[in-house]
Amino acid sequence: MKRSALALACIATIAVAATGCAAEDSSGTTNITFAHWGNNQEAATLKAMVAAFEDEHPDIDVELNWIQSDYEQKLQTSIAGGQAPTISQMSNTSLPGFAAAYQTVEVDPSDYYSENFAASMKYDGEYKAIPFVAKPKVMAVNGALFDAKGLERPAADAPMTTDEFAATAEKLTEGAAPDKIYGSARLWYNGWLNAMGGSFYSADGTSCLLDEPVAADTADFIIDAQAPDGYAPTQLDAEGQDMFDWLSIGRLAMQPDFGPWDIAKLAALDDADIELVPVPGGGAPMEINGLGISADASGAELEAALTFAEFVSTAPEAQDLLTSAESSLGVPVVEESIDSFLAAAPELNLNAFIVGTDQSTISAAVAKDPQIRAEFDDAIYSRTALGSGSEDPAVVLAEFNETCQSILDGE
Amino acid sequence: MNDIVTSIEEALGAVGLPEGLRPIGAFLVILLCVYAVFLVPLWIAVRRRWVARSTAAFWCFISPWVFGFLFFTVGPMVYSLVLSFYSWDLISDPVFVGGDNYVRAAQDPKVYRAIQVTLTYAVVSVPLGVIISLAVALLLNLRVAGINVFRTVWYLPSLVTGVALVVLFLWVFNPNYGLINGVLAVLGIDGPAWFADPNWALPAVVIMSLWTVGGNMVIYLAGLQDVPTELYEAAHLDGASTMRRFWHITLPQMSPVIFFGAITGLIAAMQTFTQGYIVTQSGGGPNDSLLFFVLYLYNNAFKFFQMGYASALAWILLVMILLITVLVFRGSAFWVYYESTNAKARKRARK
Repeated sequence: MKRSALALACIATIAVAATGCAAEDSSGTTNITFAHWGNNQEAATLKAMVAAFEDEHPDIDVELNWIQSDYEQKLQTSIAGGQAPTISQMSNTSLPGFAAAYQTVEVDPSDYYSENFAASMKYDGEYKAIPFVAKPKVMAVNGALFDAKGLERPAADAPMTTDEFAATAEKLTEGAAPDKIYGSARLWYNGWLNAMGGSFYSADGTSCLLDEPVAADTADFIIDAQAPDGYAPTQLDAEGQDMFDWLSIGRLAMQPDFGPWDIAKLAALDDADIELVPVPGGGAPMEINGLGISADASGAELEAALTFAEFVSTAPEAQDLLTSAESSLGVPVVEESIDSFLAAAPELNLNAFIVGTDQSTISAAVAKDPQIRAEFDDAIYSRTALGSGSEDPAVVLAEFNETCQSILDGE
Repeated sequence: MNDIVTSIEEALGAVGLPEGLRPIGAFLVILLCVYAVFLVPLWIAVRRRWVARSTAAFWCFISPWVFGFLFFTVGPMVYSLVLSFYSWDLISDPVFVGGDNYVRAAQDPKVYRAIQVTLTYAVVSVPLGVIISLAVALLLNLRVAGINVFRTVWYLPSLVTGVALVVLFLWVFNPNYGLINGVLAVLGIDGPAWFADPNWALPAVVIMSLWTVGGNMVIYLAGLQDVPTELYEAAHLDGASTMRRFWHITLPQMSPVIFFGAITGLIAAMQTFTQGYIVTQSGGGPNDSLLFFVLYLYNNAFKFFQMGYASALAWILLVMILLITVLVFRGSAFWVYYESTNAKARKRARK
């Protein structure tokens, strides 16, 4: 009896410990995994691109790994755990932090219509990812509000200056909170710094430039815009509010930070008179997404990954899927797909996005960028009137520039 | 470890196991190896009568937990201790830096800010939670008609916790459209900006923490119903007032339960993360007013790719919680009454 109890215990313990494991299906083709982020529509777009690829390459099976939140954290831990996906979506701003996990790849800049695309995938002089979608910003304007004030609508092919923008926004603003009509949405410092002609880092990413006068001028510009009698809502005014909704119902005249992911939403509006024009001044920073191939991939898996990346990045049949009337991931990077992109919503001036791909600048690749941005946000929004503080932005920015430089030098 | 797993998977492939079954096959092989290391010596010990069969059966039955504890709790803890002496971005190879991470933590003003925020939150929210839970438990211990309905109503909010709770309160505390500022406006008070105001962000999180007092209330209610009624009867016969009965019977009898609530609340408060993470979008809030220690640790690990420094912070937090817990335990000798402990032992504990 005791012996059988002991045997039972052994069997039970092994059974209990093994519970919870599941088997996987097998297939005879080359399997690769593709990790990506995005909302439902963006995921559906990528799924369609993968389906188009598998139709052309039935010998390669692409397993999608849709990471819906905390993408970089989960990708990072999967790499550390030796379970890196064969291919992962990566933005140009985060690429430096992941560069060591990716293979060096060959990219031909002449495949793309803007030099920005290939350049954004370079780190330390080598291409670490293959570009496949661009996300330039444009300015969306509510034409009805311009007409009501008798103002001329902004030109569709040339950006306003930042001073013209401020003057126009002031004229369009009327009323008082909570029913105030704002001339502009909140201005995002990092974006507006670009519009004003400034930059966070030097082009080679070795110096912080926040002690330059344009950095403080940008802060002052935004502080004036969101003053009680200003033309942009404060952080509190905008808390919990959707600026797209405000634009479409006429509470907002201009949104100078409009991304391509909202194209489908805009196209679905029946009666709103919304126009797309270039971002004022020097434009907004542009995000470009690429495909990084795991450093662990080799042999047939690597071949399959390169085939997939090349298809998604350069094949018109894949690039044509990036934007439709139903969903939009971004702007295609190959010229052959521009017509398809423009045709997704012919009533909108989608060409503003194409103009934006050249107007926008690409931020320098800095591996410690997330830490610097977090420290920056803490300083600028806690200590100056951009957030809850009252200190002089010029002083705060000059001090922060030293912190920024010390973090950069510590790389 | 990955190389071992890969080798096992390749070996299983060589014997014809389908590819999809190889990961679980590798897992079972490793599991069998671990159990072989454990069971063979145990079997020998039983055969030679060094260990009784019943003892061996006990170890077999408890071994899943023991292995789980060793592999998934002790193992990661030891690994994080080792990591705290390295600089590692999770992607490149770790670099040994000795005690640099601890030196850096000692010089990092954000660490002190995070400790200040976390301790302030713990010192305010835990006693407040205990007092309100106990007060509600006292009310719900009254014998009135429909008391079970009230008990259920008070407990129900405890079911909404974590992310759902924080999202709910983001709207409750919304300065323009929130419930609280709406009520204050009716009273003619201009409500603060709450989470956007460095002076009000932490108090707002403290208020939010009171939403879940129902959980402790249930424990206190059980404790109250366990107080012997003869003590109240004797005190009543002696003419003791309600307040005297509370101070001299209820409170001493409840002190072990209150101590339990306080100590678990304190440890949980020291590990607060979700509130800061969601309210501030992981930033720390205005003026770092919601930079809880665990949030700062998380940011270093998963936003700034500094796993070694984050591991050092984790060990600093562990030592902090350990010290505070020891202090509270030592202090409990002065106010916690255990009926089973004699007076002499309590005196000894105080010394």
